[in-house]
Amino acid sequence: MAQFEDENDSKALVEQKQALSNYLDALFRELPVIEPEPIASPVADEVVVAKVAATDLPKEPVVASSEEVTAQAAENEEPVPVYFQPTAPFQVLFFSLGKLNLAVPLEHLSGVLKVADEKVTPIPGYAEWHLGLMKYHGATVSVIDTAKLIMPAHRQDVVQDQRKYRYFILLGERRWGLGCHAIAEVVKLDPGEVKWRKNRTLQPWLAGTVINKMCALIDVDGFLKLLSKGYL
Amino acid sequence: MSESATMGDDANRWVTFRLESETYGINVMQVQEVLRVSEIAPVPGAADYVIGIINLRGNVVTVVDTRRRFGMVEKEVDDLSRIIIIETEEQVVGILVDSVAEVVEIPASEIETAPNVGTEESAKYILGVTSRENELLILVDLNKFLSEEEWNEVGQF
Amino acid sequence: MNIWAVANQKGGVGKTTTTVSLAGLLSAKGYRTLVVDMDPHGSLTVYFGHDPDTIERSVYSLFQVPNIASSDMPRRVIKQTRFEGLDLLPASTAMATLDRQLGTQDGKGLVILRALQQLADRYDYVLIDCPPILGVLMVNAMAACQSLLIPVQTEFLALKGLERMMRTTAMITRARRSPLGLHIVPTMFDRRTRASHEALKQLQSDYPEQLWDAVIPIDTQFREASRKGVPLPIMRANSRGSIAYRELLTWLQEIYPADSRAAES
Repeated sequence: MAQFEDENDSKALVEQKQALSNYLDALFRELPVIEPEPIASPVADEVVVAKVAATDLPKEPVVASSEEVTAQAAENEEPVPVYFQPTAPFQVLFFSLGKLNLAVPLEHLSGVLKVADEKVTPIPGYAEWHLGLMKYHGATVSVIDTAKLIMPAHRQDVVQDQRKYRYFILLGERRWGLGCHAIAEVVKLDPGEVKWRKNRTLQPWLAGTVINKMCALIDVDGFLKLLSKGYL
Repeated sequence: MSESATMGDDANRWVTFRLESETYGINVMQVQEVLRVSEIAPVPGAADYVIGIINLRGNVVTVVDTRRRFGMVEKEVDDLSRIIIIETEEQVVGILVDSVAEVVEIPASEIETAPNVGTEESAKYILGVTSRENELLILVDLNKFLSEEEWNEVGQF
Repeated sequence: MNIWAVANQKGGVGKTTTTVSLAGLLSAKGYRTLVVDMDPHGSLTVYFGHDPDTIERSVYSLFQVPNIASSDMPRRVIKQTRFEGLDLLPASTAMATLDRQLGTQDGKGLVILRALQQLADRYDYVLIDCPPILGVLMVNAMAACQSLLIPVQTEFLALKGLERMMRTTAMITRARRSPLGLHIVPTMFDRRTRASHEALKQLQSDYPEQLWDAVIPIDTQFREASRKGVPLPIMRANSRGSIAYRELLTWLQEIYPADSRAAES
């Protein structure tokens, strides 16, 4: 199912696709407009503006609310699990492992690496899904056998492919590289296009299902937690 | 169906399907529809009885392999295979069966409790049995088809 | 207010001819019509007797306003044409600098939509002539319209360009997040040549749902009309090209009648 056009330059390809997607998104993204008086003409777009305002404001919190947040954090020692469930449209990259298609939010992606002759050094004592370490642009990447990580032994047929891993999806600021067989497109999804999981205590790395593509959407934070725990 | 069947008593009507050489029945009130098998998208996860998910008019429906669930060896999908979309108190799910036969009417008086042979496991979801044309029809209690934990697993997509 | 954009990334396919002809027909039928020239090259502007190099207020001005939704600039840019019921938002050559100027400023894809919304009570139909390049101007046109007309010459090379246009359209439609009617209009059909017929067959096979079921034939009168600055259907109603555009308009008006509302964003 995953299509792939330019085999020679996947990172650049994702960047290109993302660039176009970002360009168009920016053009369509309206910032909240402060009006001294109401507009006379019929304008049916207040909804869009309001919706966009919430998520497109800069990430740094405004001073007043950050004080609130720290105060609350001091009181409340228990970490509340924050699950990935955006309220505004967000971009994802589709990729596949054998017959299994998956989607990962672009926001948490550090990049996509094409496997050429990257040297992966296996480390004794690491989990069996941990293929080893690899150096990439100064970072040390933990290379993951994604199939073994997310599918149990008796279902490996679904995620296996006669091809070896050709691409690594870099997560967590390039700390982890998830092997996969093919990458497909970058698409902007509306939260309504995803069936979000309500109870995520089981498998917290699964955020939900992309309905039109019938594929699972990864919660990257949940995934990173899973990976971190895997260290011996 | 026979014309003399009592009107409106769906509680006595059962959709029958086959698995291997056995015939099973599920109550018609729990059956939403029967589909031919099209593409079932695989999903990550552990349960061996979950085949994957299908897109039913914009809804994500998990498909369970009934053979696996009943402890049988799985079988290749063929032209007769069907997915029965069932609706329980918990959720909507699809169950893959070898083939679907007819809807039969079984008066409550003809249902016998299944003798308690076999494992605890199988006894759980069998509502009862009935004899029909020299064949034993095994009636399945869909609510007990999966445990609560298993329903959660199935419903997570 | 119905807003139609006429676009193709390939030039010379009949965009301006299509815009002018449909607009001419609409205004002649009594509908209040506005044509918008989004092409810095300004063919539409020139057609109606203005000079994109020296025009003072134009579509360019709309992009210089800090808050278009509450500005009266749209009204001030309107130019009347010689034809009753047909107005123009002209282009200026300076529009060629907008991509560089605006970069990827947030929301700059919606300027024309906001401007046209302010004019909703003045016009029944708006036709937007798009530039042949994917940039902020084309995005604006495609964000503002409810329906996109893609004229394509019935010849082999043009079909390749169409594939590209369809891909661009798909991307913008996704970013737009609201449905867009899409209609492919075969133009410059020369019934004497086999190439035209084969190209048309290819179009019918590749785009059965979006393709209009007739063609705009080549018609030497188009050039004469352009020289005079008159839409062909007004200059000569029974010319082959006029008849074909009239058929196209009838077909489009069945889908988009005059009283339908502008699309919600």
